[in-house]
Amino acid sequence: MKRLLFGLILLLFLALIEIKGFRWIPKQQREELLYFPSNKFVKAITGGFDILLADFLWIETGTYFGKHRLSDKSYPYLYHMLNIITDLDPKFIPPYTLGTILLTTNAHQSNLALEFLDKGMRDNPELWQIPFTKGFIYYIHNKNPKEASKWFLLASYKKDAPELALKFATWTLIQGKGVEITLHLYLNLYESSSSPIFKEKAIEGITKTLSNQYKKFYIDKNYYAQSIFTLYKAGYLPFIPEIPGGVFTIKDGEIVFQQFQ
Amino acid sequence: MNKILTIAENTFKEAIRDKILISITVVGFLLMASSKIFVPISIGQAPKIIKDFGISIVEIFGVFIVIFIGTRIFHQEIERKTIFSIISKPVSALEFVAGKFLGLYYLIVVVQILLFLIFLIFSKFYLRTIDIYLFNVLYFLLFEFLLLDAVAIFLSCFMTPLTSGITALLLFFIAHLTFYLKDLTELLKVPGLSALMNFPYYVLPNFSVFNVKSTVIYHLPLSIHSYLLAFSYSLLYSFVLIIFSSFLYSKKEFV
Repeated sequence: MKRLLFGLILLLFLALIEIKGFRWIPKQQREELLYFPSNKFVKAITGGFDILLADFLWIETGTYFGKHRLSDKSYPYLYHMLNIITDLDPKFIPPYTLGTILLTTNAHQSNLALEFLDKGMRDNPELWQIPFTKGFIYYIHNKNPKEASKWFLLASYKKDAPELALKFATWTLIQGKGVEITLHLYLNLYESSSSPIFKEKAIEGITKTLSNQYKKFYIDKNYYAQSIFTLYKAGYLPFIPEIPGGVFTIKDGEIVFQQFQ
Repeated sequence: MNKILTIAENTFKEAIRDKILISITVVGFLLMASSKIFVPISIGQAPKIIKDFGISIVEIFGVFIVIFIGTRIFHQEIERKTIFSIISKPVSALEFVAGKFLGLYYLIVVVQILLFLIFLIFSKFYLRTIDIYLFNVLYFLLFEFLLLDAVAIFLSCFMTPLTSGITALLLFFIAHLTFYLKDLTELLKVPGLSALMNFPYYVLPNFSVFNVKSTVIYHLPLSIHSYLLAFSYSLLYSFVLIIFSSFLYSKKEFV
């Protein structure tokens, strides 16, 4: 009798969790991330395998991002996933660098990305990459060179910071250097990471910058530039961006990145 | 001392022939070999993920060995009736338990070193480099398993193999959690709860002392205190558990 009573109470309890607990999840998301843990004390349940779990969640985040990029282009759980990964493994930097860039460019949540970078700086005050990324977001997406300069300067003070950080801190404050800084930032993004998504983002950014200059050339001259070199010679580009394994070119009136065969 | 070493040697020889041990080692080998699959799906983080995975496999399979072999160690003697030939000889309970403990630990050390070497070979093969700093993890793992070995021996003195196996596994996870439970009680500020939660924190073995995986993976400095703490904590706690186990064993009646 006691066992039956205990079983009934347990069933009621489970039903209550089922009814109440998952109500906050939007219907279409319920199945997708039903298993995803909440960040409160998530580290406690890993039994010492926190960094391994963080790795698996990182892979899962990549799958989640890829799946939504090919479908609805909406990423409501990206921030939550990145947050959990860094709760489990606070020293894991890619969620702060690549993750926030994806949050800004794809999920259009730059405010959350900046908040998330603050968390990263609290956990990793010695790293230059996090304030640098903050400067990047402020400059490229928030169009706030003054704030960007502040973060690039902070990054330049950190151990092992590249010389480029200090250069960016000063360049961002010089007016009329916008294209040059943007191209340098994207080239730096490309060179500093082994992540294919990072590289893809950098190529996308450079292509977009070149396209803007290509359109500007047309508006000014009333004819299209024949090549990237024409843009450079006419002073619309400070230099021609080079990426190993390919070249930026104009094809059918559009700037494209053509990979070498 | 000679009696302890003889029992330890026999325990090791018996355990090494166990089919479970071979299965665990083979599965561990296969899992490490399959870590190559992380390269295309890790979004540029393959070196870190392969290292994390390899180290975790070494640890997980060490836990399995203790759970599957360590908790059956006394019961096998009873099942095979070999216990009677031992108790008829002038061997004290402490010598018998200590011998069993050392024999099992010898086995764990051999398997851990073997799995760790397999991991290093695969990491050299997949990452083209061997991270010497990772040897720090092996040091901490060996002391972690010394303690887990003592826990398994202690539990198997008064539990059946199945219950002691499950309890040892739960203890391993709970002992990683007590630190957070203590934090939680401080946060909740419920009167009386702190005493309740502090009990497991102070009594259960604290396995987080040996968890340096993150520190080692990121090449962060490890203080001499953490090495000394792992060494002394593991040794002292195991010693106490073995004394308790021998007491429990001496009270056993074999029919």
